[in-house]
Amino acid sequence: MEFENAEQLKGYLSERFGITMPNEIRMKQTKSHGIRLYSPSVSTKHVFGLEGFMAYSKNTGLSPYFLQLIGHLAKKSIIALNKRDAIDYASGKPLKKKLSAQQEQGLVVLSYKNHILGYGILEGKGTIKFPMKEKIKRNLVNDVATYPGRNL
Amino acid sequence: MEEKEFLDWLGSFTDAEAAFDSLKNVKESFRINTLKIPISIFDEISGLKCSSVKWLNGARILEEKIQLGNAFEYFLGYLHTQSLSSMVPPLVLNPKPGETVLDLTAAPGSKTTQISAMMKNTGMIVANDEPKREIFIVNNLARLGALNVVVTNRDAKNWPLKGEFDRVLLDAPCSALGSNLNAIRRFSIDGIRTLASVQKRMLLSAFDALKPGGTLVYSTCTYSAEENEEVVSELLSSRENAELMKIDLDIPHETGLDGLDNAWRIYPQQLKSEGFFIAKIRRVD
Repeated sequence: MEFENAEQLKGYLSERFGITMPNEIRMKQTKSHGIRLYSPSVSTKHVFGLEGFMAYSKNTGLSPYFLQLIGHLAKKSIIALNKRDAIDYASGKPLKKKLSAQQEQGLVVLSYKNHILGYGILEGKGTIKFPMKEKIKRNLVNDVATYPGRNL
Repeated sequence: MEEKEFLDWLGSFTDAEAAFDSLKNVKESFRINTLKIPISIFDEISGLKCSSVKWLNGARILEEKIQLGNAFEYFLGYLHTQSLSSMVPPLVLNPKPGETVLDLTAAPGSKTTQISAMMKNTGMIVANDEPKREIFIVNNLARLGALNVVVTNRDAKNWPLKGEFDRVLLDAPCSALGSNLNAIRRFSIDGIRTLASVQKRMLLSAFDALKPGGTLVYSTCTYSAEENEEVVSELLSSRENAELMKIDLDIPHETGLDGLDNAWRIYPQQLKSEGFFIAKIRRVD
C-alpha cells in the first residue's frame, strides 16, 4: 500500500475505515521525511526541524502508532482479536482468522477489548500479517480490562 | 572514585548512607500518558499493581516484579516509564496549553512528552538535541502520540532563536551522580569542571531564548555544586534580568547550597527516586 501524499492517505483512511481526520490533527507530505502528523498549532516557519511524527513513508510504510492513535475512529475494517492473537500480534507473529464473506483484503485496524493495537495486512485465506517494517518483538505478560465506552 | 570516597563526599550534602541505599532500591515508576488515555480510565483497565504518588496525579510506583516494556499498557502507549524525580522539572516549568516551549536537551523525550500532555497537545514544544539522540525522541513522540512537538538538532550552547519562548527547560547533560551508580566510578573533579563549563554556556543560551516574563527551569541529576548552584549563580551574575524564583510545590526537597535557597535539591531518600537539582528562573524585564 503506497501513498503519494497526505490527501491520498486521508482518502484511503476515509474509504477503507470510514475515518474522518479530526481538526486537531494535521498531516503533510515532506520532501524526505514522509507524511508527518502534527498539531495545527505547530509551525516550522522560524525553526528548522521536523513536526510531530511520521505517519507514513515509502520506506517504512504506515506507522502502527498512527493507527493506534486514530484507530478508535474507524467504523469498518476492524478485527477484534482474542488475548492469544493480541499477544501474537504484539510479538510480530502472523495471525490466522476465520473471516466473513464481506471482509475485503487490505489493511485492518486490530483491536483487543476495545483498545487499538495497531493495524495488520489482511491477506487471502484469513492471514493477518504484522506490518513488517515496524516489527518489534515483545512478549506481553499481563492483561487489560475492556476500554469503557467504546464499541469497536 | 571508590564508593567510600563518594559517600564521604556525598555526606557533605546529605545523609549519604540513606541516599545511597535509597538509590540502590528505587522501585520502577511510570507516568500515565494522558495524551492517549484519561487517568480514571487507565485505573479502570489496568491490572498493574502500583501505588499512586501524592504530588502528581498521573504518577505511579510499580509494586510488582514485571518488565513494564512487556506490559499491554506500554504496548498501547498508555504509560511511559520515568523516574519520579524526573517528573518534577516539568511540574516546576508548569507549561500552559497554547504556549511556546523549548526543551533544549530533550532526549529521550520523557519530559518533552510530559510537557506535551500538560499542554494537551496544543501550542508548540521545540525538542532539541544532538542528531544521534533524535531517534529516541522521535520514537517516544510516536508511541505516546505527542503531536505538538518540533524536533531540532541545534547546538544547545548556541540556540539561535532569542526571546521567542514562554518557557524553556534545560535538563542539562551532567555527571549523573544522583541517578547512576556506575557514574561514581567515572567521577572526577576535572570531568565535573568540563561539564560545568558546558552547562554554563547552555544555561545562558537557554535564558536568552526566553520572552520577557518567561520562565526557565534548569535541572540536573547530580549533586556537585559546580554543576548546579555555581551554574545558576553564573547566570544570575551575567544577566541582570534573571531572577531565581521560589518553587511553589509541595514535594519533599532540601534547599540549594551557597545561599540559593529558592533552588531545590532532591535526594534519593526523599522521593525514593533519583537525586535531582532544580532551579526556576524568570526573565523579569
